[in-house]
Amino acid sequence: MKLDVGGTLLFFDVEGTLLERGETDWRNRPTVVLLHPGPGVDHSVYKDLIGPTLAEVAQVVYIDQRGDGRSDRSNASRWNLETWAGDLHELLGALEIEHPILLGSSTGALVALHYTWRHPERASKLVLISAVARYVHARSIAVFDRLGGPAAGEVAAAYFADPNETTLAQYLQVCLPLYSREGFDPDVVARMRMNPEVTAHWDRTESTRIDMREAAASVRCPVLLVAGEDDPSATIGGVEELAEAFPPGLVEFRRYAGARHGVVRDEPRALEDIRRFVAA
Amino acid sequence: MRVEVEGERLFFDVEGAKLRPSGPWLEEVPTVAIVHTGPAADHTPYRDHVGPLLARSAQVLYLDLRGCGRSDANDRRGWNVEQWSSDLRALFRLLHVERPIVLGHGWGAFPALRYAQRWPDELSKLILVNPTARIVVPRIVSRFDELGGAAAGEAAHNFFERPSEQTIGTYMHECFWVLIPSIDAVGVMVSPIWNFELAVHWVDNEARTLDLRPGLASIKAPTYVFAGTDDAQYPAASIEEVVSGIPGANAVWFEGARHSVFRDAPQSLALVHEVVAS
Repeated sequence: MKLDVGGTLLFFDVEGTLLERGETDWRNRPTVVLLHPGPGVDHSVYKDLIGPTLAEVAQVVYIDQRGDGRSDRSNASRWNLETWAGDLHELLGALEIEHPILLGSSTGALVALHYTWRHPERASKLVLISAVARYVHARSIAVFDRLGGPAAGEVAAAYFADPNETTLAQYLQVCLPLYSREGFDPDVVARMRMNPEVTAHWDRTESTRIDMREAAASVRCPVLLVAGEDDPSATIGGVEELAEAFPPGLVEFRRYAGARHGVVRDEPRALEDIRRFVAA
Repeated sequence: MRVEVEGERLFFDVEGAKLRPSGPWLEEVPTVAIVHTGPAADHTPYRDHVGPLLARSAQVLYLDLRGCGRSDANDRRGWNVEQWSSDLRALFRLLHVERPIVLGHGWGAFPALRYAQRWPDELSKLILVNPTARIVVPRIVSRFDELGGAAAGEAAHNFFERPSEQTIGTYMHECFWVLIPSIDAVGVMVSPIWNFELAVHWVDNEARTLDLRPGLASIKAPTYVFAGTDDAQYPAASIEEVVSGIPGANAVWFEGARHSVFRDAPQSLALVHEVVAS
């Protein structure tokens, strides 16, 4: 399905019903909105594992954010957190999803945080996977060096220094395979509709200056933070920095030794954590 | 979820993703919109049998018609087949559901038929379960007489001739069990959020004059009719009018099946699944 959000069509898909039969009546299950990583990737990365698992306990809404997947490309001036969070707000309003659980991995987590900063009363829970408050390239390069040798570190450094579609292609070839300990299923990669223009634009612009700590401090709902200690993109130091920024008592922090950016694929316990947190 | 359609917010629920992983592809499955029966029941009775079955091969949209279930019921001027068929189209357009399969059951077949008449090129298939083009009270009363006895016949007569809170109460008490005699009857009765005000209003107004027979010949979508021989509220003689009126309609009759064909004749389930999946 698609919805028109101020002239831009956003693709969304749904898995699992809202209503479930109780002993004597029909009840609403929670609604989980899945915000994909990237940017420049799409919702398909959730279709084989996280989505179907959560559909057992919730209604799952997959979204392709503006610029990505099957949504309209719009244009580069709108490829930013403020717009993506605004689109999310419009979509939730149009579908009357009042208190969603927002789940985002990587930059999807940033959209969730930005949205919650703008609309603090809306989300009922946040699930933030492989998320940092800000990108510190030196931290990432050090982990790439360790996981893939100096050549990987150099490719990452070259991309961070000048993000364009050429350096991105190198980065995807050399660095992306290091995002998962287990290696990515080639079918999962084939199912993605990638938009490198959006990715490179993001890494040239907002990614260099974001700091989500203020947004984290404004959160009023329970947060599950899931991280891999060997993540070269969302480095564990960066995740710790984010964890400390939330108000006390809201965060459940699950960190897994040896797991990387694809922590849910690397570590089966991470998926169990998420399912339990959503169902609770 | 609910979306605003022509002034009211309409509820819909979803079972099954539209795009499904299949090796290196996301495979697109058809969308089936289930339009519930009544008057003025809701989508929930489909949740335990036909809905989950079809969701194996399609994205199922369960709709609550305007005025029914969890949809808004603010304005009774919209409680008519013209509006309900407009709502179907508006909902599909709003959500960018292209070429849906529309499945209308009993009372829900009226909006489904009208939608297929007004926008014959927009749906990919039309599935009708005990559809009729009009309410013919003497036929209904005589079938209740035969299948449920004189008290049921009298209750049906009173409700359709003098619809009111009292006569619908008696109708539900005397007639519901004739329509849904299966072991599921209690579950089916308590499952919906009924809007009896709408049911009374509709029977007292549009039902007296509604006649969709003239537009049947304009229906172009491949049409599949699942027909029970013993549905007193939607009598076989009235279903036959629809079957013979739609060019090329495929009809399968289920001997002894009453209102809930998919419950009363479980062999119909494999057939409807095949229609959706093929």
